Order: sequence, then C-alpha cells, then structure tokens
Amino acid sequence: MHTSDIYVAGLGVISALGYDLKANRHALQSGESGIGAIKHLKTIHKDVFSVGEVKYSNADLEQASHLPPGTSRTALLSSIAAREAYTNAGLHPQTGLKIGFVSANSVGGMDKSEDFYSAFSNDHHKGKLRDVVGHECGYSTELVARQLGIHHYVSTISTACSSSANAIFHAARMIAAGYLDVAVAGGAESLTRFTLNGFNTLMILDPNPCKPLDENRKGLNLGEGAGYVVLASEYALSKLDTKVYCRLSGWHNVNDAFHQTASSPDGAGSYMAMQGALRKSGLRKEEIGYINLHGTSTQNNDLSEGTALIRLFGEALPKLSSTKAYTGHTLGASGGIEAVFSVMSVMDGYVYPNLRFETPMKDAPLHPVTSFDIDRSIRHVLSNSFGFGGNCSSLIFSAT
Amino acid sequence: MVSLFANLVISQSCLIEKNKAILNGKVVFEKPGQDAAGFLMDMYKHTATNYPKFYKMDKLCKLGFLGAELLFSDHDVFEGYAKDEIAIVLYNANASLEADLQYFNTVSEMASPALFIYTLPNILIGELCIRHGIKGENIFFLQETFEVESLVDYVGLLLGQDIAKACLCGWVDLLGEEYKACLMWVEKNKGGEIFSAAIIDKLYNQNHG
Amino acid sequence: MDKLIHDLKVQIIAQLNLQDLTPEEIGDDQPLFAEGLGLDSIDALELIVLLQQQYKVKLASAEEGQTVLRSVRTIAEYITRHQPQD
Repeated sequence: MHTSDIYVAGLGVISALGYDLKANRHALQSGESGIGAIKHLKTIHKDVFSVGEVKYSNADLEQASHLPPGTSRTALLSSIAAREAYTNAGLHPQTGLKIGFVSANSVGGMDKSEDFYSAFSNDHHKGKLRDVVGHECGYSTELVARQLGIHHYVSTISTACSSSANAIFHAARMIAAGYLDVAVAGGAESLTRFTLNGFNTLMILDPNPCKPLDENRKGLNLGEGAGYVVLASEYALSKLDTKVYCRLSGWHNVNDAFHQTASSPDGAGSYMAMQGALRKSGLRKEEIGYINLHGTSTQNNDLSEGTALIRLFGEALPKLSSTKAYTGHTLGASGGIEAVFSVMSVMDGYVYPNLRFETPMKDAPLHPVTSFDIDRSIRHVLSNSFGFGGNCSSLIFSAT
Repeated sequence: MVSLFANLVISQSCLIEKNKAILNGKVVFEKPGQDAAGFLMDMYKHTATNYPKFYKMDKLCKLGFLGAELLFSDHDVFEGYAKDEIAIVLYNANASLEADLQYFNTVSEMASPALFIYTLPNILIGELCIRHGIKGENIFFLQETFEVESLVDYVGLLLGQDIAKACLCGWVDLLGEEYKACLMWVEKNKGGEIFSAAIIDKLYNQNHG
Repeated sequence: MDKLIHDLKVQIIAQLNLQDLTPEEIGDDQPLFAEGLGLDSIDALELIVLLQQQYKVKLASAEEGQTVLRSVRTIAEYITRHQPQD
C-alpha cells in the first residue's frame, strides 16, 4: 500500500533557546537569541567564541533523559528531543504500527572521546575506556531507539550539516514506500573541542554573535541541540490520538560538486535543491510564504545561497531569515531543529527575525525579516540545509 | 517489492581489500606486503590517473576514489545520463574516524585545516562528485555491519521511482590498516548481474579464502 | 632571500601534498592561486599554518592572506619583514 501524503504529527526540540518546544517557541517570539559565552564545554577558547550552547550541564541532561552518567551529550540531547516528539505525537509501543527512528549527527560521542584521548595520549595508562564506547555516530541512535522502544527500523545518517534534513526525507520515503507507518526523524549534535578547533582553523568562526546575510558578517557561531519531527502516513494518523501539524510536501537533495567545504559561487547546489523541492511538492514558487535559510553567516554560504535565491525567485523573494542567529549553527542537528521551526511557521504563521541584520550583502542583496511577525496567510515554508561535501537539501512543509 | 527491482543490474563492480583490487571478478592490481597508505599510493600510480588532488585526500577518500576510478575506467559508463540523474549511496561503520584521529593529533600543536575537512564521511561523496561531475542525490549511512538488504531496498527505490537513473553505491570503510571498498554501478535494463542481496553478498565476500 | 624562497618551495610542496611537483617547477613569482598553481582556499589556510609553525609569523585574517600569499616571493618578503628577531 503506497500513501502519497506524509504528515507531521509531532515535534521535539532542545537548543540554546531552551529545553523544549515551549521554551524554544517563547524565545523565538521574544527575539531572545541563545548565543553567548561558552559555559559548559571545557575549552581553552572559553572566553573567545560565542556559541549557541544548550544551557544545561551534562548532569542536568542525564537526569532529564534518564541516561546514565558518562553518556555522550549528543545522545542526551537526542533522547530529550526525540522523546518529546514521540510523546507529542501520541506514540506508544502498543500502536501496532511500523515505527522507525532515523537520526543524524556528525560528532557522535566525540565529546567523550576527546576527553579520553587527551588523557590517553599523554599517558597510555590514563583515560577511561568506557568514555569511547559511545563514540560512533550510530551509538546515540541505537541508544535512543531502545529507550523509545523502536525496533522496526533504526538508521543513522551522517552527511554534515544536511544530515537531519536528509534523515527527515529519508524517513518520508520509507513511509511513502510502505516500509514504515510512522517515523521519528531528525538529528542531534553537541559542541565539542574537536569541532570548535576545526572550524576555528578554517577561519570561519565569528567571536561575536553572528550576523547572517549581513555584508559585514564575520563567520558563524557553533551551536548544539536536537530536533525531531514525527512523520506519519494517513493510515497511521487514524491509529494515533494526535493533532496534525502539517504535511511534508516536498524535498530534494543534490550535490554541488564544487569543493569539499565551500559552496559554488553561483549556488548551483542550493538552486537545484530548492528547485527540486518545489517540483516535488508541485508548488509554484509564489506559493512559498517563508524561507528558513541555511544562512550560516559565513562569507561563502550566505553569498552562494543568496545568489541561488535571487536566481530562483528574482524580485519576488518571499519572507526569509536565518534562525542560526538565534541558535548558532547546530551542524548535524540543524536540519531537524529548523524543520521544527518551519513547522511552527506553517502552523502558526510565525516569521522569525534574522537577528542582528543591518546591511544587505552587496553581491546578493537579501532583505530578511527583522522583527518577529505572525502571518496567517503562510501556507508553505521552505527550509534549506547545505552541508560540507556539497550535500544540499531542501524541505517544504505545507498546511493541510 | 521484488517487481520494483527486477530490471536493475550491477553493470560494474569492484572490491578493494587486503592489498588487492578486483574489477568485475578479475584481479586488476595487487601489492602484497604494503601498508594501507603505501598500497593506495601504489594503486593510484598504477591507474596512471592524473589527479593531483588525490594526494591531499585522507585514506578513506583515496580508497573510495580508487574504487570509483576502477568502475568508471570505461568512460561510456556515464553515457545517456545527465549528471543530476546519478545518485551516490554509501555505507560504512567507522564514518571518518581515521581522518578524525589524524586531525586530532594536530590539535595540540596547530590544528590542520586540510585534515579537518576530511572529518566527515560524506566528504568522500563530495570528492567523487567533484571528480566525475555527479550532481544527483547523495547520502551516507552508518551501519555496524553491511546490511545488504537495506542497500537493495534503498537503491531499488531510487531507481524504481526514477529519482535517479543510475547509482554508484556500496561499502567504503577504512580504519588503521583495515580497509574494504565494495562498490557497484547499478543501472536499469542493461547487461550485468542481477541487483540482489545474494549477488552483492557474493561480491562483498569474493576475496575471502 | 634565495635560500628562503627555495626552502619555502620545499615546505609548500610538503605541507600541501603537491607530490607531483619539484621546487624547480614553482616559479618565484608564479601566482599560487587561481590560474597559477591552482591552490584553493584550504591550501591558503594551510599556508597560514605553515607560516606560523615554521616562521612564527601570524597573519591577522584570511583576507590579509590574499595579498601575502600571492607568490613564493611575496611570502618570503612578508616573512623577512615580520619574522620575530631571536
């Protein structure tokens, strides 16, 4: 049995903006950015870089997630947000439905591994080996799937910053093809010294809070968190006591085929991803009410994405913004977190401000929204996620 | 589900493992006694490919790159396909752990940007796309062991629903001295071995014994 | 300056994995990026690391790199001007 419509029946999120959907919603509405000084990550760059850190210690997150002390922060964040989405959708083990869990991340248990490795490399008798047990990206997926009682289909995707967007449409495909009835899909990522040092060495970090789409942007702020949607077929909805948020009406993924980490100047990958998602959804571009950009605030991405947007929409650009000005760039979790924000946009007409924007880019002038607004005429929202390795994905969420 | 895949074939396949490279069932290169890095370099020189960016790649990317070079050594392979009609679907267990370790070793002195960019498994896909101009859908799954059925289902779905018209797919993994690339070029309605779990298992294990 | 230029060429080949090149094949004034040697943005960052590790010379930003890293000679001149005296 093939179903054509894929519905969003649940949401879960944890980010620098707050512990759950309610807290994130509140911060988005009030324009309160979650970006600030590093508090929990132990790094020599503590007083140098602004980040979008989740404002809870590992001890707090362990308690909230019911996972044992020493569990990777990625798994803790994943557990909290995935459980919120699962519960939010009215899921439970006795539904009789084929339930899947498709989760993405890129750091895996690196937060713990780097603690081990630092100790171990100085003295081979030091370092707690159990710290590295959770290193693999798949480990947090398996852990959380077990917690939620999901066995039918469990999968881990790792494609850099488009990871959780890819997890979402991968799950949608599995439902559309009849392999699954429901899926919890998205991703998680925690801040690590590994990524902080790495992005620093690429010289694309802004020590101050970032300014996406601004001519004077200096780089990105790293962030962390987790975001999941619950996708369901029409059949599954009939078995669940849940509200329907919206539909996932379109998606597309391509490779930019230009450079390992830079986007092509003409934004070819971004353009094809957005155009493909529109084609899949059957929508005309005029029907898009809001775009949640990838908008990392790097020189390269924003110019490339901006160029692609202008090429695709011309003069008739819809309302648009980057919420990375709120959360930082949450890497593997960004597609999932921003999917949650995009769904809220379809449901409640939220249009998020592109915080700290002042001057449009000379070479690709975009004029993002600069204050929080509610526009109930919005019926379709486009969400972009573009990852290193040229992996470009766009999702479209539509009102039912 | 079976009828979706009935016309899918593996028209090219390769296996690179234990210092041996096998293309369509025939050994095309071997260099026993070399370490992994040495073997990959020797295999590159043997292919006489002129692609200086190869030297910058981490070992996982070198392995996948060489596997694809074998599969695409007959340049007619792409004929009839637009570059955005070609998908890439890869799997492994260790993600980019080899590159992660190489990079992490530089962090205490001065972190290397050239090593950092390889600390994601899908950079391999990026390198393949840059090399061959491929622009279609691409994804990287992580699995503890190679779940062949999931590859068959997923690639079958991509080609069965015309999301892609051809697919480069398989397992590419490397950690320390252990490495294995089993890559396939899957198409519709052409000559080749049937695209099935049984055939892929056979290809994956052809170097054993 | 000649010795520094030669040493730089050897170091650049090693740092950037330009295995197919010999120092003699890199012109002193040959543009390193774009149409010249064809280096990219990541190579530029590695050169910044090289300058810091080998010569203790720190570039302020990637933008400064665009002028300093134009050719082996411009790099040598920059090092000569900015290298800390022992």
